[in-house]
Amino acid sequence: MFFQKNEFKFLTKLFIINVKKLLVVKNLTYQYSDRNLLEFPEKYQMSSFEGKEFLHDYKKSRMSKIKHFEKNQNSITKFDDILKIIHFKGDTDIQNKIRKDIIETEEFFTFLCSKLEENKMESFLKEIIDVFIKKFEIRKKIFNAYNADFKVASNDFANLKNYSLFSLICLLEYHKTDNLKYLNTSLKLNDIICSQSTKISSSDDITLFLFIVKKELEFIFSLCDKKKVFLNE
Amino acid sequence: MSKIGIILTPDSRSKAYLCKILSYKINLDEIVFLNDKRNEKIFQTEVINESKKCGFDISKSVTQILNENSIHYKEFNFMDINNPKLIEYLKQSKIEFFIFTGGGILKKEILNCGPKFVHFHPGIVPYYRGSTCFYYSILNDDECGVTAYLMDEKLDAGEIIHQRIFQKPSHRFIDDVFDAHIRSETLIEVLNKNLLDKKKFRKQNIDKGETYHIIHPVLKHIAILSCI
Repeated sequence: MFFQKNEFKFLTKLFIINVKKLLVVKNLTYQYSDRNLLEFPEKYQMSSFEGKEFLHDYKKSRMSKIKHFEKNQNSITKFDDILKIIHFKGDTDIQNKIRKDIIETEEFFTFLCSKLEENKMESFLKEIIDVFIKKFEIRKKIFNAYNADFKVASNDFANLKNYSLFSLICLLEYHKTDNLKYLNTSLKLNDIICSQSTKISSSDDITLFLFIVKKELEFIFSLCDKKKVFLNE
Repeated sequence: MSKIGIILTPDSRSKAYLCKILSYKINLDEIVFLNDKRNEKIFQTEVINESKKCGFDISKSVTQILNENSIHYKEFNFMDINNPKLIEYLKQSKIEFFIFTGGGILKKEILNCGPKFVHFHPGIVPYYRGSTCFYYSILNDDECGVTAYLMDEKLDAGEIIHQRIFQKPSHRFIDDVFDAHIRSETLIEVLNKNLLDKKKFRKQNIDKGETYHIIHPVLKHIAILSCI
């Protein structure tokens, strides 16, 4: 019995779909931070639904990163405490430099954190956070410098500190506003950082990493409770 | 009476629009089909059954639906909504409003070629502009919405024709079935109530509201699990 060409194509497609499904079921791991996301960005388009197990696997993946770094580290759980660790030692004139000169991203994000600590975030700075969210969401990269029009002014996008600082800013904005846009971006930033976590070495950077991953987990599981999505351990 | 057409693409949204237009016996003045003859997605029985409960059959191709119902249509062998061949065709068209179903972001040339384009966005603007809005809406409000608006160069910021709220679904097929279902239900309401003829369109305040980006799978899972 021979298949018609169209029938053969259809059966082949169906076979491939089911093999892929079997692989997903067999290898239920959180796949969104298991490759170098700086080199091979994740678009997150039309992601598949995998049931409650997916959230278990996400939690396991994040916890394994936390456990790896947690030994001999002081645990910080409050935003006030983590913001004290991020010292803004930079140019106090940075606010005037915005929209005029090239801004070093790490310095600018540290400056934003200092504003958040003082609880003095001017509305134009909030707009700039939204500009960075849009830029990151499009390219899945944060570059080391931007010009006055927030166009990229550097070829380097591998500084993990930039991603960690921006994730902290997004988590703080989510904490203040409950706006899921910020938690969404933080999740993607943390996927990138977790995919590169072996490169995190300084004590302050490890402290920051542990804080943003733990805070993300806290917010996600609080949202699960709110939406009555109970994960039975 | 305004002349209304539709520009179809080979996806579940177009299938839902077409099936419901046929079942409600609505006559459109023109049907254009952008068909790059791509390999269509194959759906599991569960998804197909859910689509049938929602009034369309996701297992049938757009071509099949058109041919089974002996519908006359103009076909192009590309998917790009900004293709000059399509723009040239639309310039000659006497259609006042075309229903948009996909094919890219409309650029200046097509927006200025004559007809107006109507989009059914799965979010209540200005609060839910951007991408995957139904998931954010489920997480925030336990409901979803659709906005019909006239397309312009800005994203999700055109004049509002109509808005409708829907209960969140009780199944998990949001991308393939529920999204197409709520958009198509809103389309039927717009057409049955002659809202394009009435031309009572509302301008949006573009400084107000929120724009969302593609939802992260963790948040997507929480949204879907809260439905089922």
